[in-house]
Amino acid sequence: MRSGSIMTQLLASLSLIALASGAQAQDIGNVAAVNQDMNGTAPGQAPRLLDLGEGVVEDERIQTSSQGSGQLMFVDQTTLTVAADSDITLDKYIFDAAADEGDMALTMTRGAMRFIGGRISKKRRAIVRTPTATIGIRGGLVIIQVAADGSTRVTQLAGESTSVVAYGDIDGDGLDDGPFGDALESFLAGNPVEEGDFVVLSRAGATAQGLPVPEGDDVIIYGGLLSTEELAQIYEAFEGRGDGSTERLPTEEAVERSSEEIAAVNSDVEDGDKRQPVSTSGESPVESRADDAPPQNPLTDVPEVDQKTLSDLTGEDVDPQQDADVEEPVMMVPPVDQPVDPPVDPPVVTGPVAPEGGFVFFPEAGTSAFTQVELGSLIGTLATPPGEVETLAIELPETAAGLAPTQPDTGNSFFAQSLFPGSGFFSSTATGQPGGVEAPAVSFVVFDGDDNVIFSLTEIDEGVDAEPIVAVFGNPTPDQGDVFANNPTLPGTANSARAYRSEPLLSNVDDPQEIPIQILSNGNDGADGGRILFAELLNGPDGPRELGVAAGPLVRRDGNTAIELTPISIGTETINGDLFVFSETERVASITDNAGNAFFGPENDFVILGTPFDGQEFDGGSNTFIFSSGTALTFPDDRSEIDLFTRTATADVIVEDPLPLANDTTSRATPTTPILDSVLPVGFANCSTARSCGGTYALRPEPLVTGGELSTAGQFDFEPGGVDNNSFQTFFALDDGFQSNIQTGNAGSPSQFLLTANESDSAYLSDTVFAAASDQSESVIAGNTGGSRLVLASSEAVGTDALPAFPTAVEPTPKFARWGFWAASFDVVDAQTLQPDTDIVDLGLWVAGVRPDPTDFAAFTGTAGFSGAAIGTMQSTVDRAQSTLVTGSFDLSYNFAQGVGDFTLDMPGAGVNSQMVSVGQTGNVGSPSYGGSLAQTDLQVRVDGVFYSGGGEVVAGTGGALDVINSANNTRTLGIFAGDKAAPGTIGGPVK
Amino acid sequence: MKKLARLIGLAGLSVLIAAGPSLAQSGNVPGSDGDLRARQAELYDALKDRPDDLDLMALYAKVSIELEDYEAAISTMERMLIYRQDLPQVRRELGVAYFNLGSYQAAQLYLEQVLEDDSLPAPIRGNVEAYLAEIGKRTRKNRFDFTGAVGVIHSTNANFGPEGLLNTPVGLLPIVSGEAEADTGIRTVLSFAHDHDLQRPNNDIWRTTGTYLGIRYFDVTEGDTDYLTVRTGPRLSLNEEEFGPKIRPYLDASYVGSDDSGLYYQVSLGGEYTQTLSTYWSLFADVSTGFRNMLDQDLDGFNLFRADSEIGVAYIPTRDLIFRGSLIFEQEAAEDFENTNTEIGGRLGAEYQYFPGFDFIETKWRVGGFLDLRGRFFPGAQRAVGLSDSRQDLDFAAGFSHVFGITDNWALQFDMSSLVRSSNIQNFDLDNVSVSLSGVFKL
Repeated sequence: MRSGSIMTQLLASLSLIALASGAQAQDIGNVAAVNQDMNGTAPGQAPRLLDLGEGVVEDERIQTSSQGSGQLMFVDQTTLTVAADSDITLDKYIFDAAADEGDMALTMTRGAMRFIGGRISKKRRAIVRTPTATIGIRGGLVIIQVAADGSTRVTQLAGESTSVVAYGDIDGDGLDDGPFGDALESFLAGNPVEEGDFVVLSRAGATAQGLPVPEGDDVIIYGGLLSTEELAQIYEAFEGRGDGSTERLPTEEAVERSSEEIAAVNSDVEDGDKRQPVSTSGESPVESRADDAPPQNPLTDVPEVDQKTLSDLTGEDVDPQQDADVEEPVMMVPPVDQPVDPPVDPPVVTGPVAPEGGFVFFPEAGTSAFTQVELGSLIGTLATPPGEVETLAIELPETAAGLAPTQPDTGNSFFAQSLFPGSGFFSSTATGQPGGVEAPAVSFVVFDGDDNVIFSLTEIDEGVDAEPIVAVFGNPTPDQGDVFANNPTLPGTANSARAYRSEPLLSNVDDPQEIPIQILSNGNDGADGGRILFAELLNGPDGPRELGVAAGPLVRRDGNTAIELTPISIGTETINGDLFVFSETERVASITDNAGNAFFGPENDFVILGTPFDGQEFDGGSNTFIFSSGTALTFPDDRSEIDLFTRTATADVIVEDPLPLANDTTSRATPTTPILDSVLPVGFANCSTARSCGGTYALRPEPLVTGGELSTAGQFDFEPGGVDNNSFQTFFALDDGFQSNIQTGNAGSPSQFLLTANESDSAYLSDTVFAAASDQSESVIAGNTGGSRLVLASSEAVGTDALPAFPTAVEPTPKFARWGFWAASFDVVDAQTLQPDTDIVDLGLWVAGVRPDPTDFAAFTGTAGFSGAAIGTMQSTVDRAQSTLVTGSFDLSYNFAQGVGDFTLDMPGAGVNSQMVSVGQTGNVGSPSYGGSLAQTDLQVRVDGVFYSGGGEVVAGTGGALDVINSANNTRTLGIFAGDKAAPGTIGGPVK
Repeated sequence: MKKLARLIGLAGLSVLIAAGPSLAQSGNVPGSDGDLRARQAELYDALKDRPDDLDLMALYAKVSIELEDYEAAISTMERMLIYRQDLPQVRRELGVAYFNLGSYQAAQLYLEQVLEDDSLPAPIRGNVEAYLAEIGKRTRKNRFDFTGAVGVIHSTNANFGPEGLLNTPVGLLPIVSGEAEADTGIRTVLSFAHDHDLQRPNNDIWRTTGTYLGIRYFDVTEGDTDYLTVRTGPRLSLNEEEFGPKIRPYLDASYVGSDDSGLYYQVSLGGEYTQTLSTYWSLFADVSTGFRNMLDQDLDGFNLFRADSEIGVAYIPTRDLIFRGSLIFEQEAAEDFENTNTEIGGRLGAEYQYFPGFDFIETKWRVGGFLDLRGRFFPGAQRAVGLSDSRQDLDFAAGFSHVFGITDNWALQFDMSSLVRSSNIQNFDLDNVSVSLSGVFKL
């Protein structure tokens, strides 16, 4: 139950203000106009006719007759215009001029009133009570009409808001009770209405009605928007007859002048009719967000797609519009009944020797060998034309230098670079005669050293829906391959580390009459599958090589269920196989044709593959071809056929299970070599093709330097007698930039990868072999800890004779540094699928030496020269490919006083020909490390090195890591360099 | 760096030019209100003694209007009508005063009463009719605005390409631009806005806006652009005040085409928030999230989810001048992690409207400028760089626009914008200055 009326509550809530103002019993306003008559009844006094200018006081009752009206103006500039037959009581009025705030409460029991707020209602609601509603006015112009039955109509003319609430007349005083207590204060303060029945008006012309409900709480309803006509009727009542007891009537001239003065700042303001409304509460009415700002060009967020450039780089047509514009295919194989132009003699060919042999494969038409092949343009005369075309000419560059690396991201390019230096892909046009039909073609071309084309594989595109014609000119000589096949120098396997060699399994046979097979494989083990990276076959039913096909990365065999691949074309007698199209890169165990003939798998040793395009970019299945398959007749090492795919590794260096050794410290070997530290390992890690990382990611020392040393090398200690120091820890920079699906779990840089093998599970097996497992250690990739296995073998373990050939006069074994190979496997978790996997470093390289004492090193102020060997593993930059060893040399001239030097790297196989890299001291002052990079448009070289001490010299040699992106922009080489300081005076003078 | 400095200087000049006229005419700024307020109080006191003095009332009304205290002016002028109804001039001023408060029914009532006077001078009649026409527009339940601009654009880097294209060392950029090429072309901007009055007791509306930007260069087709965006949603009052906080939840759909083929479409859900803070300050914010789908499957790596936010304040010292400053945070999670990025930046802008002083000009001219600085960070390694390097961009954009209004429907517009993107990856470096001159039609 309520106690006391709203006015009592209001009085209580306003007591402080009232005391502060001391305004009680004073005039709160004046009579501003009286039209006919208007009565005022002050508290405790008799009613009186109000005169113009007369004051009114708090709690005074204002009444008008049916003929009377008037206007009151209050101290705070609030005005009330009272219509005829109205009854209003000025219940409370408090205004503190200094604070510019106050409160105002009225009661209106009948009639009409126009309330125009002054200062008070700009901050707090002014209250008007009627029999059916309590009205809170904030910053507004409001018309209130009370009918005889007490129903109330409220119209907001302007202002922030008018809250019309109904609590009902519980105390029976004939008026709505309104809010009370805390709710009243909240209401006065302008807070949102939360109690009672209410409608809040906050737009001009909006109306609300308070309606009496018998024996219940009154209700407030929204009455919609007031029309101009309704408003006119109301205003007429307020305006009266325009004779409001005027005592000081101005002259017409004065009225005119006054009006013009107002108009100058009001109606005649330029563009006044475009102004937006202003707030009556003094707050900014501007919606400050710029809606009409001109649109930004969205291509600044997504760089413009240059279709041509993208096409150039990818070798693919990425412009769908262009696709749509493709004209009807130009048929190289015209229908039999189609008239054709008379034959045209092929052009005379001069120049280098043409390749021998070759054939053309016409889908669904068969194969025709070339009876004559000429060079210049590659022109072949078909032995058995399937259509009218008798000769086929393909425009090719005349020299290897003209082979633009248009396919930098294919395994083929890698193949071309690594095995056939004078090779590459070339976009051309194939012309068939007679008829002069033309079609775009992409050719893989191999030149010899004299710019003779020795082999070319061309895919001729006859149209969107047509299977391509494949033309093969000449026979490749695959002897260039097999870099590792006969190389027993590589680090072998450790049962725990499961590190495997990265060499191909098979090599050419000596007997040229036997079918030669060369398959480079990069598989790891039976569980992980054999990954065919390159297959090349010279195959013919009669023995001579008639067919050669280069192939890029294709499949990874893992023993899973074979995947159905639909043959789309049947081969010919010459090819003796089938033509297949992969719908996408798949993991396959075997491939069969429609007849169920398997031509890839354990029973089939080889396949003939052609991937004119990037093997990754399958689009509906048109990029990778299997031309034929067969069974190898001879294997040079008598290994079983299954070996070809299961990849049981063999190596001269066999590391026996290191884990028991690691756990049995008494079995550890005692190091006899000096402590080796500053180990810099580099390598490529291969992930499975089941993951989308594309195959390879690079590992190299993170060129961060802390603590005055190249800490990225971590510790790799062979300390005599110090079995507790057999540990391995290193940071790598991890680059899987193609797919970014490997995320390291380290708290540090996301590109860092920490590998640690503690002494408890590491083994120093000999002076040249070290193995470790770290199931309990801190191998961390993608949040996965543990599960790394590795084996390292020094070049001494390999043996000098078995090392790859280094350039003449390059000493592969430095005096004061050691280098070698390493292999490892890492448990990883795919960052996208969260599936665990194992990645393997097939063949990495490391270099180590003994760091000089920092104090001694800091004393160097002269210049010295260093030289030595460089060796790296080279891979295709786009997809996992066969690691190829490349060798070279380096020179370093270093000014120790200034901490700068010139590092010259010569590694032609990696595309680096005596390139000079400016290096500078890295890390803290006094750190014996240096680094630098060379970033040219198409060649990037990064080196990070450390100086080594030895032989009684503080600085006796240097070693480090190198990272090369070759000029063809299609291979990457990670490697090391190691060398000795030149004799004083030979290069750069002695060192102090 | 010289180019960056030059563009920064140019942009700074743009903002100064935009703000200059306003600064020069800053007489009507808040600082002079005090004198007017005192004068108003003085007149009010006088009115207590002489409430029927029409001269005094007129003077009081004038001062109140200058203070934009239209309530005081209205109450006084309506009192004038109590004394004399035959004051059409006062009715006109009352109508305009109500107009300035957004009280269009009352404004219309008084203005139509003015027109009943057959002897009304033509200029005044025209003035009144202009107000009534505007009231007619503003009180429609459905309100449409359309703007079309067609003109010539010249860009120093029409294709947004880098100055030098570096072959990528370990792969290639899935989206690349050819090297920067300057070109001239045709620029078309079409925009519309539709407000549907929800007829509620407040000013809630349903607002739909759309913009089309089309650029066709004469030679560099890679820079050809089609950008269509439509945003719709209700603008709702968050409290009971007419000028209180507003929120506008919206659905935003955009399409971007380039070089005559589709590039991507984007759909976002978001909300705009505005709130007045004081007489001269207000707050605005915009938060949205959505996805972008590239239409070319080769660009799927750029498919992304994005979350954008902007919060800022506006300073509005006069009706014709506004300054804005905001902070911007954007996060894009792309399908290819290397394209995932975080963008943080800020934006400053100024707009000013003024009459140029030519008799034949019927509308105000508007000048504006902005400065925009963003840092964009890509956590993933970039294939363009390889190794472990991540892309980091710093974008500096500046713009200047001047609308030379001729009539209410026709205008000329000059726009200039510049962008300098400095990236740690050379292929992402770019700079561009575009200037355009357009004919504008408004409806």
